[in-house]
Formats: sequence, structure tokens, C-alpha cells
Amino acid sequence: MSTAENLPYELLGRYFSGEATPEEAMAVDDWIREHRDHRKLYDQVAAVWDDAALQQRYRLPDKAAALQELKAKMTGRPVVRKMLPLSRIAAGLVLLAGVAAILFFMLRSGNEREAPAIVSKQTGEAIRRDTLPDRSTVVLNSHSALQYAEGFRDTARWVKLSGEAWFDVTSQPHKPFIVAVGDVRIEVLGTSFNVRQSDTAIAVMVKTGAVRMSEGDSSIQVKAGQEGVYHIARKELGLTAGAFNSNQLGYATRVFNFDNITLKEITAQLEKAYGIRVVFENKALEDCTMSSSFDNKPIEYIFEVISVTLNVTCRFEKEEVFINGAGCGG
Amino acid sequence: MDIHFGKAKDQEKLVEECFHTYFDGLHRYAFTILKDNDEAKDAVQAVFLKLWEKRADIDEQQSVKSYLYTAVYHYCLNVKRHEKVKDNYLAQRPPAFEHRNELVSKETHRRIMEHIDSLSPQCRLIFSKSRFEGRKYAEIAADLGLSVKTVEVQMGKALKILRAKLFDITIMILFACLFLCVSI
Repeated sequence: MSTAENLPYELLGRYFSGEATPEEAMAVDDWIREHRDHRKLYDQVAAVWDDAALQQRYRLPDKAAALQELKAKMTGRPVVRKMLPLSRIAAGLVLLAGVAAILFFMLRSGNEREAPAIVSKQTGEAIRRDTLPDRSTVVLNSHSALQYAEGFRDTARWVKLSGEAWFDVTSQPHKPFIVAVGDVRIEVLGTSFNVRQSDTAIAVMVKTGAVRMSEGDSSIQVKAGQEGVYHIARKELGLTAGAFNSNQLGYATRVFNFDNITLKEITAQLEKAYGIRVVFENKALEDCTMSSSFDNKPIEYIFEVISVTLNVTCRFEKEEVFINGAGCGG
Repeated sequence: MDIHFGKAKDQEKLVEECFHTYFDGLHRYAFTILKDNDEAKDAVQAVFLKLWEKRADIDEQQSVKSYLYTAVYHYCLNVKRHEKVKDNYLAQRPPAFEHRNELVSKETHRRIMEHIDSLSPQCRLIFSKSRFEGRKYAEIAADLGLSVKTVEVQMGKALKILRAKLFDITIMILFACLFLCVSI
């Protein structure tokens, strides 16, 4: 490892300490990109820095989600330009002409408005986490689809769902959020809930707040902890007795309460929620059982707990986790 | 004399391209200053939003890059300035406690602490002041009656020694494992 000796340690020190100027930060990033070994060495120094203090570690956020959020904010932002006086006058004239044109068209064609573009999201096997234009979040389960008008400029926030999805809706008292699924409409103000459509029923599990489920003229209110069900054949709305099993929402919330269930069932749920694949190198381990609860923990943490609890080893290779070991019997 | 990012559709694509190219680096940089993942993300997004608004005034790739880094830098300093003002009113914030990786890092943390103890006294003091107390280089230099350059050199030295010790050990363990496996 000869390159290790030539590491720009002083530059990295300044960088990690938060002392780097923009130019130095660019130099660090350029250096990392220069060579694969550089990346590795950088990671090692970063690990030293991160692990030295039990404070918040560096973690790259979900880039796709961050881009979605940014795009939502970008729509509707005008270009801000520096203008020369002459072009200002020109702009004024253009504005006047524009207003005249708009008035002309409004008077001529009444209230005809251009229909906004429809955004469609669809999932295959993998689930998908998204941020909607109003910053509500949605987790679309496997084989589901969601549609909505770009920008939510209507008086209500309409989305059309088929399949299953989890919604965490931002509160906008004057702009209700409405999910249309099959014949059912679910209207909310600000809450989190799950909608699942099957061949026979549409079920709404509410985690926080309350929603109104309606079909035709009839409607019911579903509150936190309750599940509202619409029987498609009987065309009937009703509440399920008792609380629902919150593990059913695990794919979206990453909140799990495992109560003496098999490792096979546990990993099946984790695979979905975290988009990983679990491989049992020792098949006998599938039947080990354990109880534990996790509240939106990093996947590495969960497998650490599993390996300690069941005396197994969990090896990470990219998106795959290999489980091996003597196992729970001994 | 508007220098353009092109047509509306291309503009969005260009911003997106910049986002993909620079997000990682910018976010990491923002984190080094703010020490908070979420705040760092907000900072980078705010800067990209500004880029989007100013898209008409920005010319080519190269200047976009330095625009972004410089903007992140100033944005973060601004956030910190506001935090200082807030801190004057509120009691000192308790350090952000993270459950994350608790199990994984405790052992590593213990090992690092051992190695930090074995650094030379000056080196250890400077590293601790920067890493654990979050002091600025200039403050540390003033405290200890040293030049900023010395602080810089000592910090570099600390990182170099710690990296070498920690990762050579990992490699040794790895070799030991391999050796055992082979010999069994």
C-alpha cells in the first residue's frame, strides 16, 4: 500500500474538521474520483473519523428521494434573471401584451383550462418510496400503480391507486387529500394510513389521525389504530373488530413487532421493507424463531441483533445478506 | 447577453445531471460543516433550488461546479451562524444521540479510543479538541499558543497514525482467519 503513505492527510483533516474551503472540498472529491484505491483509503480515514465519536455518523441520504423533493420545489419557480434596463422595458411590454392576450382568451373561451399532465408511478417486484408534490410521502408496494395530476394544482389533492400503498400525508386543511381506489374514495386532511386493494376487498389501516372512507352515498370514519374494509361483492363498508397487525405495514414504516415467528418469515418482511435479498446458506436456520421489535432501524443493526440472538452469522454483500452458522438449536 | 442552460426541458435535465454528479460530494461537504445528515441534505437542496432559479445566469459545467461548492459553503456557514444565535437563547443542545449502528461501532470506538491514547500528548490534545469539542483550528491554535499550520500538521499526523493502526489490524485479522481456514 504505497499510496497510503502519500495520502493528503492534512487536507483530509481540514475536510473532516469542517475547515475546508470550497476549493479544498473540490480537491478532496477530485482526489477520491481519481483512483479506486483513493476511494478505499478515503473510506478508511472517514471510518476513523466517524467511529472516534459516538455522534451522528455520516450517511448519504436517499438520493432519488432527495431529487424528487427538489423537483417538486423546482416546478413553479420562475427564472430569476439580472436584467438590463432596456430589457426591463421590453419585459414590461411583453407582460402587457401577455395580460391582454390572457384577457382576450379568457373572454373568448370562458373557463377552459389546460389539463395538467398526469404523473404515473408503477412498481414491479420492488417497492418504491416517493415524495408527492405536496411533500406527502408514499410507499408503493409491489405490483401497484399510482396516478396524480402534476403539481396538485386542483382544489383537492387527488391520487388514483390500484394495489397497495402507504401514505403519510402532510396537513393542508384547505386542500383535502383524496385517494380513489376502485369504487372507494378515502378522504383525509393530514394523517398516515395504508390502502390495500385485493380482488374481494379494499382495506384501509390508519396509523395516525383519521380518514373518511366513502362509496356512493355511504361513508364511515376510520380512526387511528382501526381498519376500515369495503367488501367489493357486497358493496358494504365496515370496521374490522380489534386492532390490525402493524407488521403488515412494515414494508413501508419499517416498524416491526416480531412475536416468536420464524426467521424465514422475518427475513421475508425485511427483504421487502429494505429492498435486500436474504440467502440461507444453512437451510435449517429458516425455522429458528425469535421475538424482537424494531422501530425503523438500519438494516445492519437488525441483522446484528438477529445474529447475536440466534447465534448465526450474517454477511453483507451489496444488497444480499448471507445467513450461516451453527444455529439456534445448540 | 443571457448565457443559457438551453431550452426548458434541457435545463431540467442539466440540473438533474448536475445533481447526480455533485450531490454525493456536496452532501458530504455540507455534513463536515453542519455535522448533521438532514441539515446537510436541506442545504444541498436549497443550493440546487437557487441554481434552478439562477439557471439563466450560469454558463458552463466548470463554473457550475464551483458555484455549487461555494454556495454550499456559504449556506452552511449561514446556518451555523443562526444556530449560534439560537444557542444563546436556548440552553446548549444535548449532543444528538443516535441509536444507529450502536452495536457495530461500540467495539470499534473502544479500539479507536485506545489508539488515540497512544498518540503523542500534543497530537492527542489537538485531535480531541477538533474531533470531540468541535473547535475551530484557529481556536485550538490560539488556546495552545501554536500556529494554525502546526494544528493542521498534527491533525494530519493523528489521522495517518490512526488509519494505519486500525486498518493494518483488520488486515492482520483477515490474514489470521484465512490462515486458520486454510490450515483446518
